Amino acid sequence: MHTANVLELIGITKRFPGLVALDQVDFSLLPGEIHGLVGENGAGKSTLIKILNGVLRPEGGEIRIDGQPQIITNPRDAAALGMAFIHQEPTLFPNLSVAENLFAGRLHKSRWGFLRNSEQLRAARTLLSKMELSVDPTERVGNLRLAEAQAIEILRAVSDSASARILIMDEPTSSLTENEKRLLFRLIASLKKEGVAIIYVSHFLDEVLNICDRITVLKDGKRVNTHTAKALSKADLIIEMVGHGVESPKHMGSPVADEVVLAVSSLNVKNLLHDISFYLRRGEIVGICGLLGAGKTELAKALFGLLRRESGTIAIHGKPVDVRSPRDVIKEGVGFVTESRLTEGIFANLSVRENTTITLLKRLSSRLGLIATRTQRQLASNAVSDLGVRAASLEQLIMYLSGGNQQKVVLGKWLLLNSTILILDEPTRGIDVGAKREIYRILQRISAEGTSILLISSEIDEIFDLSDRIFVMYDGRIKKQFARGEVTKNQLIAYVTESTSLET
Amino acid sequence: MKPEITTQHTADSRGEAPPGKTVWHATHVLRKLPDEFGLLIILIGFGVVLSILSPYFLTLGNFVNVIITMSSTGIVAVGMTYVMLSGGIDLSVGSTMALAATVAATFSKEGVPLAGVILIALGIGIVIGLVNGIAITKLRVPPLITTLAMLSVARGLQLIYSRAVTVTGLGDDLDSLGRASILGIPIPIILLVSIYAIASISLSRTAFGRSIYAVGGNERAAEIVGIQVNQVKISVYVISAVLAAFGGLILVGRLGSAPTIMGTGLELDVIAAVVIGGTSLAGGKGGVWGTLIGVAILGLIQNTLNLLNVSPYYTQLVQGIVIFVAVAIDMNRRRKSV
Repeated sequence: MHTANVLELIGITKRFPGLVALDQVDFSLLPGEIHGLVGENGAGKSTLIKILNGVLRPEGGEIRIDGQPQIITNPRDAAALGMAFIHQEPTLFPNLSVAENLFAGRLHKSRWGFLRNSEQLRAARTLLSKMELSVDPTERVGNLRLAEAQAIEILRAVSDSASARILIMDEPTSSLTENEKRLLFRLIASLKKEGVAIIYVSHFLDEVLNICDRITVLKDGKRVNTHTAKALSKADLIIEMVGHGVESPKHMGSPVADEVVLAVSSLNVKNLLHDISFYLRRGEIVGICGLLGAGKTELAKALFGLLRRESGTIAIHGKPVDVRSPRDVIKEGVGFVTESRLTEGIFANLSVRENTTITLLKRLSSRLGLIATRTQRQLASNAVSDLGVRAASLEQLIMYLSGGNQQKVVLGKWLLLNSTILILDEPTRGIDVGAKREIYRILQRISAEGTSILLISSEIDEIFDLSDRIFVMYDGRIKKQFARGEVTKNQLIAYVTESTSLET
Repeated sequence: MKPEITTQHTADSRGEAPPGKTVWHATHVLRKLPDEFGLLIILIGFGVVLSILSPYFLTLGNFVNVIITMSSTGIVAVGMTYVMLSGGIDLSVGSTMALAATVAATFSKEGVPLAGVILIALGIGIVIGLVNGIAITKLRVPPLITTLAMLSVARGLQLIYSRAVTVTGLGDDLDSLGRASILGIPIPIILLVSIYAIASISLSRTAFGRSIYAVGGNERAAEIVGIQVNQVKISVYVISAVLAAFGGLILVGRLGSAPTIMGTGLELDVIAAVVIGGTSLAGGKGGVWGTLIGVAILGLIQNTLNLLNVSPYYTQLVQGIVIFVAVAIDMNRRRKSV
């Protein structure tokens, strides 16, 4: 192959405190090529995209565009070099028309600043028909289907005068329906014909295998391999992605008692959850996996009173509880570590001490209403040392801690409250490998001590290694249930990723 | 596993970068000081300039005068601090003050004793605060809109009630609330200081106070840890309206009458003081001591321009510039420290 690469990355390295996000990664892209980029969460895909976009600067390595070394310091540089980025959710102006969106920033106007509407509509129609899109250019973008809006965004990017020759798509299909996906793939095919090179990031492996020419697998910040897509089977791809995983300590088989602490029956949440029934025993870890949109987070929220139940009963420690707000379940000893640590977990402006004891404020108050600061400090200090939180002091604001340490504090506040049932939604998302391992140890320890855990995660490794039982969710239902040992990791991955194709 | 922790209690490590190279820039030193410190410097700087400009400035009489003048604004600003810490805003304080004080003044005129007058004023404050709080939490109308509407409603009620006539001839006891002294200390000053002290303790040392910071900093997370977010929000609006009513009583006592225009535009002064004092408009950050300094800065500007016989029109101009500069300096300092 002697065609010149439009884009070449050589030995790209990016470090974050306590984490090497990218380690000597090489990557190349040919004109008209669709190059898939796959890997589990935290493999380094998004870091790589951010480096291309100039949001992050690499510590080492070189980016070459058309063979010329380039330094990209901000998104404008990236655009000037002919790169365009398409994200999951379109970034368009919903109240403006399709044509206005297509030409945003370079509207057709007269010398006096008036719009040349008919000229602009004509240009828009030409553009749309070239890509075989049947969209009315006068339609408000807010009225379009998601895929159409996405197509408009892509068109805007590639029709720019400085014409994007490199298109980077980050999980473009994750919110699309099957029909919408077809539309997107058709558009991608026409772009390819025009010679646009595409980096296609997705966790839908079938898609990647179908549309890409080559596929690069990232794992823990390293490039594992680059394959020609044709010669690759899905099974091989999965094994490369999962590899030997973060060696999380193998589960010892926690002493699960027969005592059921949480029993859910026929739980329904409008449009989101359907007929969910299960139980959780004392000291048990139940892992819940499933694709994005399968209803995992919704289940957690419904159990915690953050989503309104349509029907169904929830019994905690044998007692039926009418769950309407978090307080109803917190009282019964349930704690919830949310998926989004920053927006739902930590109080960024408060100290480690206050974040750790925020669940205990009332309990720490004297009869006069004053908080017993000494007790508070003592409790926080114990929790912090127990969980191995690394902080400069208890008074340090939590926002200055690393993700892993923040997460330990978030966990700690429920442990201090003596929660006996913990719902953990993606508890290790965005934290480094070392901290992950520590959190796994904590979870195993508390489950051995009798805490029951509902572990929701998109990381199969973590579900597989920690859970006593595993549920696979799809489309708001629990589709499969396995006890430990009933399923291999690769089977589980296949169940999770294929539940889509099983259904449609 | 050995717990690897370090919990030395360094004096104040807010804004400290993780251990690494320590470079002792001037900004680095500044960063370690409490947020209020920079403001205090500004305030003192003001004082120095003013005492040079006007020899009368540094006299005890003038000082007492300044504090009394700013006492009612200062008290209202405490309530605003609560509201803004929770992430809200209360535009209705000026009208609330006017309505509560006007009604209370007429009762005082009719001979109702001070205790009754105070109860009436505070009662009106409680009702207004509850309406604001319930509209904001249960009806989910944004605070800006709710309290803007209340600004108009309360002012309208006051004008209807008083027929747009200034209430004069108050009872002596209400008068004394604004003018008398205990042990030589004027009552407004005593009230001002006590309210700030109580507010400071309630914000920093009680579950309620910390819940306000939690709600203002991250409402979602607050709900998830079981804090009664709505209850906290309703409470801050009640506190704000009650303190506005109380500030109104002191003002009326000081003036000896309840003019119909009282409290007009007060919300802007009060919000300015709170913002100058470093309380974040987004909520979750700040405190009453900063607010007190903010109130003092505004009070000093007015005082000096008075002493220098500058036209009151310039007061507005200078005040606007000072608000802008103080907040701009502060924002930049904070941005660098993150």
